[in-house]
Formats: sequence, C-alpha cells, structure tokens
Amino acid sequence: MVDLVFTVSIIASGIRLSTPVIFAALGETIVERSGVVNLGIEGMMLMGAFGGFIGTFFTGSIFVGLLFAISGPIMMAILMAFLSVNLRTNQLVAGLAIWLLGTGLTALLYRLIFGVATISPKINEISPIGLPILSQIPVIGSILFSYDPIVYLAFLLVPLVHIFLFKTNLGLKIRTVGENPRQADASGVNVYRIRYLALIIGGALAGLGGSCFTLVSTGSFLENITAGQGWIALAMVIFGRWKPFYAVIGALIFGMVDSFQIGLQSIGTAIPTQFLLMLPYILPIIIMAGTYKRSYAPAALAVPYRRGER
Amino acid sequence: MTIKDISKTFFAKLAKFQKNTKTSVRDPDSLNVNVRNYAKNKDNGPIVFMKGITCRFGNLIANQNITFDLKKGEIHALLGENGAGKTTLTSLLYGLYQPESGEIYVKGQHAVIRSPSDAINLGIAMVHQHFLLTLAHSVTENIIVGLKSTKGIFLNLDKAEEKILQISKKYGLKIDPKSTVGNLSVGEQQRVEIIKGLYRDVDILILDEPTGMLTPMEEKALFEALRSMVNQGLSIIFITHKLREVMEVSNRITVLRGGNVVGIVKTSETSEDELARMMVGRTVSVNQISQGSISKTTPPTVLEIKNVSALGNSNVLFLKDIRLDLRKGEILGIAGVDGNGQNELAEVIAGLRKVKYGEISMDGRSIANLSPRQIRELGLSYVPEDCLHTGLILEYSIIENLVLDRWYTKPYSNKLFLNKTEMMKFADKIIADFEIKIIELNAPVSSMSGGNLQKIVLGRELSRDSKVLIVHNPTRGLDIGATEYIHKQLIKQKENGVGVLLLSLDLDEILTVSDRIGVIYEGKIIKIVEKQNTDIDQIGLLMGGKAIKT
Amino acid sequence: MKVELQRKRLISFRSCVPFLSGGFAFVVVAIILSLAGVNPIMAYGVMLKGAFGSLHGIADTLVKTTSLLLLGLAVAVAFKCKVWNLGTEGQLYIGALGATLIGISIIGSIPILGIIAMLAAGFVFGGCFALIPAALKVKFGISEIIVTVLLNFVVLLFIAYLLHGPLKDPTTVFNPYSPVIFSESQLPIILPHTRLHAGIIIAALAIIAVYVLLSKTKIGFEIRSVGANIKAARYAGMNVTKSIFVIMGISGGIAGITGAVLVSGVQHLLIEGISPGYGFIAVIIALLGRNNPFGVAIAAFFFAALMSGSEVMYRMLGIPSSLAITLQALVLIFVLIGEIFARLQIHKTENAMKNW
Repeated sequence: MVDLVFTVSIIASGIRLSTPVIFAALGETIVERSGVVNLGIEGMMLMGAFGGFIGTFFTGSIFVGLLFAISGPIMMAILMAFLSVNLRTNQLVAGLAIWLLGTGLTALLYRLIFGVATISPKINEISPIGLPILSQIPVIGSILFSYDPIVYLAFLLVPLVHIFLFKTNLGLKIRTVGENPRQADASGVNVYRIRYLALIIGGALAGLGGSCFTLVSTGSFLENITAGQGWIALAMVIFGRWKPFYAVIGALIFGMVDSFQIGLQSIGTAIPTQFLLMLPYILPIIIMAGTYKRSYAPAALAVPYRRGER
Repeated sequence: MTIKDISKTFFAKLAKFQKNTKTSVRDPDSLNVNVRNYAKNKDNGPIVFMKGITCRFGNLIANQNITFDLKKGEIHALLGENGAGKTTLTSLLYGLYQPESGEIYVKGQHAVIRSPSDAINLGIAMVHQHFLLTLAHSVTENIIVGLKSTKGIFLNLDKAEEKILQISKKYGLKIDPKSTVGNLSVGEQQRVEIIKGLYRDVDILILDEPTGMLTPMEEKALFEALRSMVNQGLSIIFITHKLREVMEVSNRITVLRGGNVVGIVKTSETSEDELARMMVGRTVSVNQISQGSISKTTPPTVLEIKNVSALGNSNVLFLKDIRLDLRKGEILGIAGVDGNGQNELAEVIAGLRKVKYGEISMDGRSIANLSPRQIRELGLSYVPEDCLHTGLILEYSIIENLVLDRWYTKPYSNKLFLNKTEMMKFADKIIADFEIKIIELNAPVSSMSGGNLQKIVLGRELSRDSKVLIVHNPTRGLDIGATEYIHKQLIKQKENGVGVLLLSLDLDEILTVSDRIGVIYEGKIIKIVEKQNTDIDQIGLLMGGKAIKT
Repeated sequence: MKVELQRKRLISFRSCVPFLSGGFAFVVVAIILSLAGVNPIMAYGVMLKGAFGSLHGIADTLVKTTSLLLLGLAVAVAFKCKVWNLGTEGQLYIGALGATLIGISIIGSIPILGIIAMLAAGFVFGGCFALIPAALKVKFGISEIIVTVLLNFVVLLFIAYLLHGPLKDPTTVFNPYSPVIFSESQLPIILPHTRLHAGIIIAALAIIAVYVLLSKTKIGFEIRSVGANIKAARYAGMNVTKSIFVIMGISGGIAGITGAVLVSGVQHLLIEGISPGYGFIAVIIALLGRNNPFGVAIAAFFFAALMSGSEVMYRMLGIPSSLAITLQALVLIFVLIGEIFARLQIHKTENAMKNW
C-alpha cells in the first residue's frame, strides 16, 4: 500500500514537474516550425516566473499574475523578432542576448522591488482542483487526478497545438514559412508577420511555463529559478522531431526522472544527492544523442529571410 | 542533322550576317512607338502592358526602358541570354521587385504590384526556374498555402484535392494531390507549380526557363498542356534562351539583350537565325570543336569505377551499380537531367560521399572510401558544381583560396607555420596564367565577378598536375566568351594526358567537347557511346530513361 | 582623394558604432533605476569610482579582466570554427578542479613548477571535458549549444558533491571548501597591497598565442576554413572532425586555464562560487569583440569595469549587482541593432562612392 502510494505520488509529481517544460517545448515547437530558433527561451521563462510572481503579489489575483507572466515574455519575443526577423541578426546570437537579458533583468528588478530581504516574500499558490469522478478513486485518486488548473491547461494545449500546426490554414502557413519562406512569400504569405506571430505565441507559452515555478510550485521567486529548464525544452523539441506530441513525451520523461530523483532523495539512498540532481540535465543529452536526425528539422531553421534577395 | 552541323551553319550564317548588316538592331525608342500604336489600335488590347520599365540592382541596370505587351490567348516568349533581364522583367510583373520607373497595365487597368499576392489578385502567376515548393509537404498543402479564398480556420484538404484533380484533368496535367512533393519527379513538381497558379484562377502564367530540367518527353507534355491552356483562354509568358523551344511553342517573341528590348516579332515571321542574331548581337568566334581524335590503340584507363552504389542525401540508395572507365587523354561527357546522380557520382569519386558497394580505382590504386585529401594527393582535381560555395571560401583572399588544397604542403608551410611569401608567389603565377582580374590581392574574393571566381577554382584545380579531372557544370551562368575559355582549358588538359570527366546539364556542351558520352539516369550510367556514333536525339531519349537499340 | 577620405571616415565610423550604441544600454538602465527611485547619475558615478577610483578598484577591475578575457578568448576561438561553446563556465570549474588537485598535492609545493603544473592541469582538464560536446556533435550530429549549456549544470553539481564530500577540507566542519593550495603554487601579486596577480600576464600571453595560432599556423588555417565554409573545407580535403576536436580542446583548455588562474591567483582554494557566471558574460564579450583577440580584450576590460563597479555600487547603495549582467545583455542587444543600421548606412555611402 505504501509502495503504491509512493509510486503514484512519484508519477503525479512527475506530471507536475514536466508542466513548465511542456509549455516551453510546445511554444518552441511552433517557433522553430516557422524557421526561427529561440535560444532566449530560458530568459523568457524567467521573465514569466517573475511576472507571474509580482502580478499576483501586488494584486492578489492569480489571473493578473498570469497576464503579467505572459506579457513580459511577449515583449521579449517582439524584441527577438525585431532582431532576428527585421534586422536579420544571427538568430543564435539574438537568442543568447534575450536569455542573458532575462537572467539579468529579473534578478535586478526583483532586488530593486523587494530589496535584499532574508525572508523571501511569498504568494498564495494556485490550489489544486480534482478531476471529477477520477479523483474520487480511493487512495490514488486524490494523488493522481488532482492538479493545479495550469497543469490541465498544459496538457489541454498539446492536442490544440498539434491541430493548430497541422490542421489549420495558419498552421500550414507557419510550416511553409519554416520550410521554404520564399515559396510562402510567393504564395502571398507575409513571412515576417508569421515569424512575429510564432515568436509571440512561443513567448507567451514560455511565460506560462515560467509562471509554473512561482505560481504553482514554490509561491516565491528566486534568481535563476528556472534552473536551465528552457534549455531542456529546447532539447525536447529536437528529441520530439518538431512534433508537439513527441516533445511532450520527452518533457514527461524529464518530469518523471526529476520526480524519481526527488523521491529517491526523500527516502534516502547511498547515491549522493548531487548525482541524482544531475539526472534531469544528463537525460536530455542522452535522449538527443539516441534519436537526433537533422532531416526532421524545418528546412529553413535559423535562416534569416530577406525579400527579393538575388 | 547533328548539333555540330546546326551550330556550324548557325555560326556561318551569323558571321555572314554581321558582315552585311551592322545596323540591323532596331532602335528601342521607335519600338516603343510601335507598341503604343499597336496597343491603341487593336480592339482587344493587351492583357498585360508594361511601359518604360527600368530596374536597377546596385550599379547593375537589369531593365532599361523596356516596353512589353501580352495578348489574351497567346504564348509570348521572352528570349535572351543569361543576364538579359528576362527574369527581372517578369519578377517586376509578379511583384517580387519594384521598378524604378515605368508603368504596368493589367487588363486595361493601371496596376501597382507590390507583392506576389497583388499579382495573384490580378490573375498573374509565376512558375520559377527553381521551384518554390516545400518538399516535406503534400501536393495539396503546397498548392493551398497562403490562399486568400480559404475561409475558416481549418484546412479543407478534401475539397482542395477535388479542385486540383479537376484542373489536372482540364489541362492534362497529371498529378496525385496526396503525394509528398519531395517524392515527385522534376516534371511532376513543375506541374504542381503550374497547378498552384491555376488553382488561384489566374489567367496569366509566367514560366521562367521551364524546360531547363525536363527530359525531352516531359518537355513535349508540357508544351501540349501549354497549348491546351491558351486554347482555353489563358495567356502565357514563356522565358527561355533556347531558340528551338521558342520556334516550337510561342506565338510572338520579345528579344532582350543587356536589359534592353532589341525586337518584337511574330514567330511565324521569323527564323532561328534572325533570333540568334538579335539575341547575341555581337561576333562570336566559331567554337574550336575537338575532333575526338581516335588513336589506333586504346589509351590506358586512369579511373575505373566498378559496380559502385552509394546513398543519396535522404539515406536511400541513390547511385546504383555505376560502371565507368575513364581513359588517359579523353573527355568523357556525362549527360543527364539534373538530379539524376551527377553530384553524387562526383562526390563518390572525390571521397566526399561514402561508397556503399563496389570499387573505384585511380591509376590502378583503389581509392574507394579514402579521405578527400588522400584522393587528391593520388591525382584528382575536381571543379564542383556550386563553385562559389563549395569551391571557394568567399571571405578569404584569392591567395588563401588558391592554396586551399595545398596549404599544408611544402613550400606553402613548414611543420607548424604557413609561409605567406610562397603562397603569394604561387598566387601571382596563377593570376597571370589564368588572366584573373583582381583588384586587391588581400581583399576577400566575394567582391569579384562570377567568371573570375570560376577562374580561381579552375586555376587551382588545373595547376594540380593530376591524372583525373572532374568538372561539373563548369560553364553554367557564364557568357559565351568565358564558356569558350573553359572549353579550351578542358581540351588542353586532355591533350596533356589528363582523363577529364565532364558532368554537364548542357547537352550542347557535352556534344561539343567530349570524346565519349555517357548518360546518367536515376543514379545509373545507362549507356556510354563514342561521340561519332550518336546524335542529340539518341542522347535525349537516353536522358529520359528510354534505352533504344543502336 | 576625396573618396579615400570618405572611406577612412567610414572605417572610423564603423569602429565607433559599438560604443555609441552601447551607450543606449546605459540610458535604458538609467530609466529603470530612476523608476525604482535611485538617482542613476549617482549610481553610475559610484560605479565609475568603484571601478577606477582607487588602486584597489583598478586592481579589482584588472583581476576580473583576466578571467573575462581568457574566457572570452575561449568562446571566440571556438566561434572561429563556428562551434558554439556555451560551456566555458563548466570547463572553468573542471579546470579549477584539476588545478586544485595539483595545488594541494606534493607538486604544488615546488616553486614555479607548481604554478606551471596547475595551469597545465587546468588546460588538460578543461580541454578534455570540452571534448564531450565535440564528440557528441561529430558522432551524433547534435548541437553543441544545448549540450554545453546543460553540462554546466552537471559540472556545478559535481563540484558541489566533491566539496561536500571527498575534496572537503578536513579541518572545517561546515564550509564546503577544498584545502588551501600550497603557497608555492599561488600566483604572485604584481601590484603590492592589491589583489592584482600575475594572471593578467597569462591572459596577455594567451591573446598572442591565440592570434598566432589562428592566423599563422597550419592548424589555424584549417580551423578558420572549416569555420568559414565547412563544405568548401571538406571539398578541399580538410579534416572537419579533427578541426572541431582541436578547437573544442583549445577552447575548453583556455576556459580550464581561467579556472586554474582563479584558484592559483584569487581564491587559493576551490569553492562553489569561484565564477560568478563569467562563462555567460564571456559569450557576450566574444560576440562584441567580433571574435578578434584584441577586440575581446577591449570588451573584457569594459565588462570587468562594469562588474567591479557594480559590486561597489551594491556595497554602497544597495543596488543589486545583477545590474551588471542586465547592462551587458543590453549592450549586446544595442550593439547588434547599431551594427545593422551602421551597415545599412555604410552600404549607402559605399554605393554613393561607387557612383561618384
């Protein structure tokens, strides 16, 4: 019985832990499908975490918090789009700049607003909602089928993003822009606008992913609270071969491994904690090495587009 | 009649003509007047009328005061050499660039065409020389992307497929809407491009060099479809530099040269000779055609390829069972439609692509799966297809580019360091030998002209003192003078005893300089024949995969 | 004559661009500061004074310059081969680990040799560690960008493990420190009564070494060629795999030396926070320095001043030192924007000159 509860709670916490990566990976899938690599995703997630925190802290409303969580990253996405789409700077360079900007700005603003307090301010986290019927199952029900609404949102988005990319007119435009922007342009698709749109969606999703750290798990903000999960999301997009469902599988594997190592820590083991903590970072490298094939990537990935270039 | 005869008579006539009439080139201004009158008088005015169009790229004037008209229901050919301004003119009509001055009228209305979607709204579609298709997507997806008429959020593939099949039937353009474009042949991809336009209910179609990559059979099918289109009321602008095609398919012809209109003629009232004269407009020395000297004894083989198979870019077996032997002092031309394995063949020999099965030997030594450097050291020179991007490093100076293959050898470097002085000496020699025009020795070569860049690669590769020379499309995009220069160099190499493997899409080039001709089709060398035993028709059929008995 | 003059003016204009556009970053941060109720002029004044106002300040700036310059070089060298080494932070720690192991061993007690052995160990440790992403890139084709970033986290955890366990100084109970290295293997102070140590000389030598390596040697030519056009390099018979391994080894090695210098010159032992995120700033420095060793030196000095100035600002005004990284990221963004506009302007002028 205890084993069952333990296993189930590991799975449940794995699902919870994978949520930020799912958001970010879904967003990045859309962005990369449009032919842009956004290395700034980590910075955008930080901005989302920070925005969610201050929004909720000052208004007490989770809704306003979420609004703040997506608006910062969206502004960064617009800056990224301006750099990489209009100015055609190297996308990798632009992404790195966005990443470092997010890292610096969140730390600076947090300290400017809250000072160097020893006790970090806290907000009320979102409370979990049980799934009807399923959460009534004895013992495991309340563990396995009771999450914060934002977790449900993440999983609801997976099929939505899939449908968006592969079944809608706009999705077809995005994919064509990522594969062959010249064709898209010649067919009357505004390549710049599509890439802006993709980046903005990607930024909003990264922001939502980031907000999970402050609104769901801890209720407080720390410098670099995302701890590299933006980079993990990037790895998962590659692992997922630029398909939403596969990327989410990668994110879930990540979440499970993370939850497993936390579980192991809690019951105590001979393996040093630090080695367990390494697992979530080593895992993406291993699964990328095992599955990567360049041919799945959008053909125009990371290539700036310029009209009428001869 | 072989191509040799054709070219002989052509050049003879040309020379004669130029002696007689030096002033035959019509004055463009008087031409404009003619066109204007024409446009006014006819009751069915032109469906497209472009007036006084000028367009510049930097310092290059691509179009200068050009006037052009297209009538409803005609195929109007735009004829001219590379760089004559044909593609630019039509790109202006299609909204890809903006003219510096001039006006465009479509269907009697003044039109400002800012983008391709403006053009499509006006009923104009363009099929580019290099297809604008997404290989990873289906035919239907390629056709419907960006459509203005699609309502709603979701894709409606079934309805689109139905309409595609209708169009396909109406004009005889066979296509399966469900297949992935990457799996289609070049001819089929072109059909997708055409249907893309027709799907948008356009009635003006621009085709930019549509036959460049087609087999003779596919070409015939295309022409039939085009005729069926104009019969059903469409109007077509047909860009080409091939006289034969113009005569075969067009109703009227506008000839461009150096960004200017040099003549507008009815096809029925002109001849290939007259067109050639207008198109070239200057003296062309008659090509020195090698006579394919046959010695009594067969010279030794320098490159032998036995049953070689290799993977293509998409990891499926692409080169299949290639058999080929190249002899000392000959030029073996390999003809074929683009994308049938020419590049893969060259790369396999050069060590840039793995040999999956089979054996390659150069001068008796096995070279299969050696490193590119080892193969070069054993005596290979290779002028690659995409010279600018594969053969050169554009941000490097001419000196560095010339030693790209030998920088590690003496005297260009010692154990650790480079020797700039020796490099410079070598560069000076090659620059003099190959008459390369340079501005500054240390400036990046990216500022140099295409012909000069080609010469850098040629200079480097031909100075290697090698046994085998592979050249791939060496004259693509070059003018007649530069082409002739390169042909002379190839013949000189051959006379020095080098075995030359010439891979070219230009059938005329192959027929002009080779001693033997092979044909590559779908990754196989399907036949190798002596030049004197063949003609353009036979090679054409072979290129389309039709093996005939000889 | 006139054209020549115009060209010269153009070149000087171009070299001014990074400085002019970088200035915008300061304006943006000034706005943020004043919104937070801080007088930006005073803040910047304190910063400037902190970085240059005293001998200590200058020495501190130069000490930071040493680390940033070396790491910037490490990133720039890899960029020359179009390899993105975002893992210099991790390689720094691995190099510091190697150096510490030497420094606390018997070798560390030998004068001069101890220092040389520490630097060598830093190079070898950092270089070998950097071969992991190189191998993954060559063997599986996976992007070194993500791998190098993720490996940073792994290294930090590994170092934490060592400092809490096997490598922990047995004389302390709570502090996760390694034992102090022998004084013979500590870099000498070259400016008395400050922290300025001989590492800056090592950094200067590294600039020269990298310059010579890239522009004068055979392997440098091969590496540059692979970086400039991998297709052409392969075609010309160059060894792409070898180039990537060599350049990653050198890049990681330089990062490792940085770690060794930090242990030998600054901390004299290994701690968890031996680098306050130098590896990330190094990326900006390499980009701003246009991957040119001398450009990197200038950018490193400038950013070091920012960092030491912002530390003083934190101590005196309580303004968080994360201001420095914000400024640095903004400088990069504005320089990127500025360069594009400058290029457009230069393009226009050059065209005008051609027509003229």
